[in-house]
Amino acid sequence: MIVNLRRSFNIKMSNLTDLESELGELLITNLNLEDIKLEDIDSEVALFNEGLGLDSIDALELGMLLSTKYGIKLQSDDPDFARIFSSLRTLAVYVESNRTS
Amino acid sequence: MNSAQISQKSIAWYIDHVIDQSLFESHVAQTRINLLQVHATKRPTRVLNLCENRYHFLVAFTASMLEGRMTMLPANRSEGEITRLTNNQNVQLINDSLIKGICQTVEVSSSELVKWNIGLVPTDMIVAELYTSGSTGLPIAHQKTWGQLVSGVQQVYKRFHFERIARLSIVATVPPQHMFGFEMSIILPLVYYGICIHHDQPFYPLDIQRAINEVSAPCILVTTPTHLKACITQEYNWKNIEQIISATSPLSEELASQVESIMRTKAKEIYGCSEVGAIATRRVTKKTTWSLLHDFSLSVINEDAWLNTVATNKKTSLPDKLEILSDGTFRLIGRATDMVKIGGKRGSLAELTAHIKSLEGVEDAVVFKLDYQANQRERLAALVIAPGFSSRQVRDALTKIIDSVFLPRPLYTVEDLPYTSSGKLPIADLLTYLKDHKKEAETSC
Repeated sequence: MIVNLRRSFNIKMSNLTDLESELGELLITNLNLEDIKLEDIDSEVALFNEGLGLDSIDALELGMLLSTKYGIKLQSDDPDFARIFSSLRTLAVYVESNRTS
Repeated sequence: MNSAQISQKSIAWYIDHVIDQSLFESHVAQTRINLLQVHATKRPTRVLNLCENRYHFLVAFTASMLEGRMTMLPANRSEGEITRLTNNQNVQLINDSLIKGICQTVEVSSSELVKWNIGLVPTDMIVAELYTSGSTGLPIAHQKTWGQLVSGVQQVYKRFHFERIARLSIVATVPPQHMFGFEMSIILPLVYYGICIHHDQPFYPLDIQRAINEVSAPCILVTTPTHLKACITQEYNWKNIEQIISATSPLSEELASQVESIMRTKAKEIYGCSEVGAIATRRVTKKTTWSLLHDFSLSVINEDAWLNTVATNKKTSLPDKLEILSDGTFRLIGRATDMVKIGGKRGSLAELTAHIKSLEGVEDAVVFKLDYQANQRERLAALVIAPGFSSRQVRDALTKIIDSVFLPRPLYTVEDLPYTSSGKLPIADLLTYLKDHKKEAETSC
């Protein structure tokens, strides 16, 4: 018998905007986050290390996803780079203002 | 930067200028005087080189060797790793901010300038130490003598015919602290003075492209399959790449052939390990099996692969299963059961399991590998018994003590584990258990 304590641990109604939800689903589906549910993700949660636990390989994968889906080419010397990836919310803001497709 | 600036005496592309050999030697001398010789008594015998800038790393490493110090190459930059390496040891830490001022000087200082050549360092001096995961949870240290490192890159140099390429530049996406990056972007320019390295560690395709455009052709791109996969996903205008040298995991034939056509170059690979460095090479679009470098011979005993270093007759156990073919080349079949390699870092399932079990509140746990797919990262799953705790809490606690590349996904908290009557957890049972759980989780949504 398996118990998923996560559901009872941090139940919250989704506070995500449409684009944040879309990006959240994109991460869960493509970065093997199958044990995380979209409704458990807070838009302020950190994407890397603590938070969703993403790592540098995911950062490259995420770069490919943003490039394929939104036509965005990331550069790590962008002065805002660290802030873009700090949460789902900041990522959504960046995608919204830089998407070409 | 422009290519007119580079000559046979250049050693690095640094910020907006080219560093030539005498300026490099001056930076090394200044580092010795101002950073390494400042301790009046009890000088540290070891240097922990945390420099991310490749030129800073090169200067700090060379200065350390000339001061008779051993350089420690941390497996990652986590607080835990740094504490472990500096704890109870006579260690001096050097990072970018400490050495930046010296390396940004553009005037050659004439005092105590030593003309670099590989003979300045004794071949039997231990110049570096790096670390791999051990099954007990304690990292294993691997020490490198200067002679071993020199001989390693000499073989790679000959194998890839670098002697035919004049004024070679190196752009590397791998850190200098990793054995592959250490050999190909630090030891190589020290042994073959005149090879010019780019100071940065570019990450995204646009970063890589910028670095390649900053150096003069011909350029060698030292990278990994993960970076290459990203490089071919969208249109980038690749030019001037003489060859690609990829390592950390094998390229599939399909990816290699896409890379060769889109990036207009040859995709070559190195197979190696932290214990030995480069062991074998291939160009998979021409031949799928690996050719050993001349220093080595191979044997397989009871499915375990052993590498013999001919000169020293030293035998090293390899973490992979392999098949030796009649023409002397070999094929990689898979990884030894307990080992996992993600992002160029090697871990042991037993060690990861031990880390989870060490968390307060965890009663039992198991970490296992999911089916591997070509060009994808190896994936791990974990089942944890931790009454009263959620999988999220377990994961949050775990991110503090392990490298995040090894974080199992998925990680589920469960009430029991599928032990057999003999107390074992066969992989087939674990995979079934996980599949059943996923179904259950999906239907209960």
